[in-house]
Amino acid sequence: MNKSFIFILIIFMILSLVTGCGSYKEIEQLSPVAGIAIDKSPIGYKLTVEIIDVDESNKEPKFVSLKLSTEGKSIFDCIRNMINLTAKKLYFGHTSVVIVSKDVAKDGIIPIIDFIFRDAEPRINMYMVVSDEYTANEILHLKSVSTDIRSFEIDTMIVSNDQLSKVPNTSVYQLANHIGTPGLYPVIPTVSMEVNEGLETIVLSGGAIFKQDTLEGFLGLDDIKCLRFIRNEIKGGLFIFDISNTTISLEIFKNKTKVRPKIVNNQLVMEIKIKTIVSIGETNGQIDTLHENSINRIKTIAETSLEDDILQFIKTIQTDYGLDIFGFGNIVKQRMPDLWKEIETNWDSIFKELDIDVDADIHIRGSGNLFKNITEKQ
Amino acid sequence: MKNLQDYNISYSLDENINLMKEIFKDDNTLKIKKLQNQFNPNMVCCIFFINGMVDENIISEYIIKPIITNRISSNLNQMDTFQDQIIMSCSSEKTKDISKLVDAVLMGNTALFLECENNCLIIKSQGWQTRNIEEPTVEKALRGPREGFNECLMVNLSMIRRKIKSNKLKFNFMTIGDITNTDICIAYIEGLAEEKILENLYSQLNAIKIDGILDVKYIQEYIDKEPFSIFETTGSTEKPDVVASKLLEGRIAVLVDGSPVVMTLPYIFIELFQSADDYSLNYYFSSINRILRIFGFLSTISIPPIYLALVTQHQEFIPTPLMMSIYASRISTPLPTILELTGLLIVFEELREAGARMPSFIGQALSIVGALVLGTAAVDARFVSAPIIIVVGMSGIAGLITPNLNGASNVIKIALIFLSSILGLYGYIIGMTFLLIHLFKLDSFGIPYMSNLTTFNMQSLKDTAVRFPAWYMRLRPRYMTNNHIRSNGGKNHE
Repeated sequence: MNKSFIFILIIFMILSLVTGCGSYKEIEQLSPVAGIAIDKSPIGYKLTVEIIDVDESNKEPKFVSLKLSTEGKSIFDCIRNMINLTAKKLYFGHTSVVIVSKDVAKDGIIPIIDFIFRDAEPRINMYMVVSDEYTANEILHLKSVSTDIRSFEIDTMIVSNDQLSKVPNTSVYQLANHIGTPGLYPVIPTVSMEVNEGLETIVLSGGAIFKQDTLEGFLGLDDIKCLRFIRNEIKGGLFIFDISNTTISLEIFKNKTKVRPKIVNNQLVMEIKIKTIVSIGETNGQIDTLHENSINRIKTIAETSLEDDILQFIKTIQTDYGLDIFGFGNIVKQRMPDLWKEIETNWDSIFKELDIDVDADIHIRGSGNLFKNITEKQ
Repeated sequence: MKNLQDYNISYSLDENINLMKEIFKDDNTLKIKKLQNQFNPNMVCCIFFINGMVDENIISEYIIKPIITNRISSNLNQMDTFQDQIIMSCSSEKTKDISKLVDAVLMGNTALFLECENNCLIIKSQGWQTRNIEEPTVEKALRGPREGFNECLMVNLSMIRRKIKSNKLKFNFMTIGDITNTDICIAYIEGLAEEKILENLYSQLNAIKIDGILDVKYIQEYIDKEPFSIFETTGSTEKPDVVASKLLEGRIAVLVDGSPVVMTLPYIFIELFQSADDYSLNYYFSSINRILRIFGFLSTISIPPIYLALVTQHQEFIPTPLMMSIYASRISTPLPTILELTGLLIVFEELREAGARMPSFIGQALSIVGALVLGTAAVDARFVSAPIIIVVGMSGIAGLITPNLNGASNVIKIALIFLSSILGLYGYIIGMTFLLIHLFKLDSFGIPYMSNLTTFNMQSLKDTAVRFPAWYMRLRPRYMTNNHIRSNGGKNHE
């Protein structure tokens, strides 16, 4: 055994004792943050975090939610000020949601997105939601229904909303992309409070429109469904309409929306083609779902109804906000790059006057497990 | 002390007796018996043998009885008469060489001296107790042949010969060990074994200078080309059917007297995962088993370092619910993860070692201590966190699947744990990269260690992770031999 070998051996033996250096950190030394709520405060921001804590009073450890809040000039300042309150370092690797109050959103959400992207820990696929009436702090303090951790519940609610399609499924990295995409304005989910069976609980209440990074207004749940139809984001949900006193619910299985710009009479027209596969989910029993004529009637009326809804919604956005949340500008940029270069600067005004051509094609696949109505006499 | 070369056999029987007494001084196992023919009292001779090494029936029936009861006349060339007409033995040899004589007597042969003859006759009379042919405990078979080698070289050779009845099967003897004089046998099939490998093996065996060979492992370590590697480049088995199948593939076997383990070479990495049972069971089933073994090896070396890296450095990689449960169980445990992990791995290895060495009647106590005290109680008392027990348990079970690799996987595991405690997953990846580089650098007698694992040729892959049906294995391993065709592949399957 020569000297250099012993020397290397000693170095390695010392190395094994200094493994506390580097990024070695024990999992129990961290305070995992499930969610963050950001409000305005006189000096800047008021940040509330929901920490996953373990209740060790029983033999079976139980997860409890612990809320702490600090104030600071910036988001990062608030987070570092938290060290005064907790012995452990906050850990954002598993943070699933950021709740932003209306006031903060009106001032701009760039500082928050900047922190999420710049810091190594937070995941960029978390959700950012806007609380419309209450402060973010209040929302975070509401009682959770399904889990002990409030923030994870919001996250699950948004993900499972794909079966309903009434809330935009926009995570933080998509939000950042949308902010940076010309001809597209972002829409992110909103949350509100509702008293349900005597329990004050959180509820998803639609979407918030942003002009770049500042809040411009709110959209209702049904508006978001139209928005998701146009953006080709429908993954499920219902389409409900009336035929002469009969309310019919169609269950959407598959939807494909294609938006193409067209030049008609020297005028830019957006052509929206919607292809939806549905099945009859519920009727009040007055309508025949067996014969082709009747099915075709349902189909025609449903198509007209969907087209009307979407046209109506686009009109409202054009007149009320004038913000291209549908990404029409972006589609023009991809399909007609030359035209886009000409109109890019005054796209906002062009959007307000943009002609829309909606063509819905609804294919009714079946009528569920019933082919005759229950009221029908044998 | 006089050298054996300095002694000479004289014409006087009494002098020869004294000579033998001097050579075997203080060795009371030497038996000296003087014999006299009953018809010719002048006909005196003396036999020498080592008590315990000989079959006494052979000596009394076929050596002593003919000498005493036959009518023997004194004449010249008496020794030749004895060799050809009197002694009833299948093997006898005349010699004047005293060292050869001593070696022969020590191996259990009987030496016969005659009056007025300056040479002696060595008569084969070996006979000693050997272990019965039993099933080897480390290579248990579910279906295939159950016999295993024992410590007697000739018995072992007979077991191989019984499987390969061909004059092409060659057994070459040599002796290694200055003091032990251990018999070594090199077995191969002529025409299949590569000449170059055989020459290489002979030159390496001839170069070994050692006082004694007690096990085949001595030779394995001497001829290992990478003596510091944790992987063995020669195979070991205790089953004649395994040796026979390797010989048929063009490999060479080395048997050592006194060792039930037979060395086969060249040896490649995938053989570590092959088991004799694979060829006796349905090939779908044995393929699943073999994939399990490979997976077991990978998991036994990977689970602890990856867990350590994830829990201490990359908490964001763990799915949130799992992270929460690890978090909950880690709270208020005193030791850092690295100490918990190494400590419990050591405990596991201690349990394994204790289980292998202790008398079997303590077994139950050991499992109670192991399972209850170290498992549940340690977690309940918050000595260690529960996931560590699971991680160490999974790694331990996976390691037991491949007993051949137990030593190597323990070394790799410790190195990877060390690396991932410093560098996290980077350390793990660096360690695995070095492991792969090392494996691809190794070779066994010129055959790359990772042969057959870097190709998409179906005939080369037939016996790797998946065991193909027997009729598909038409060719012998390409790298092992020049004589490829082993079967017509079965006409039904062409």
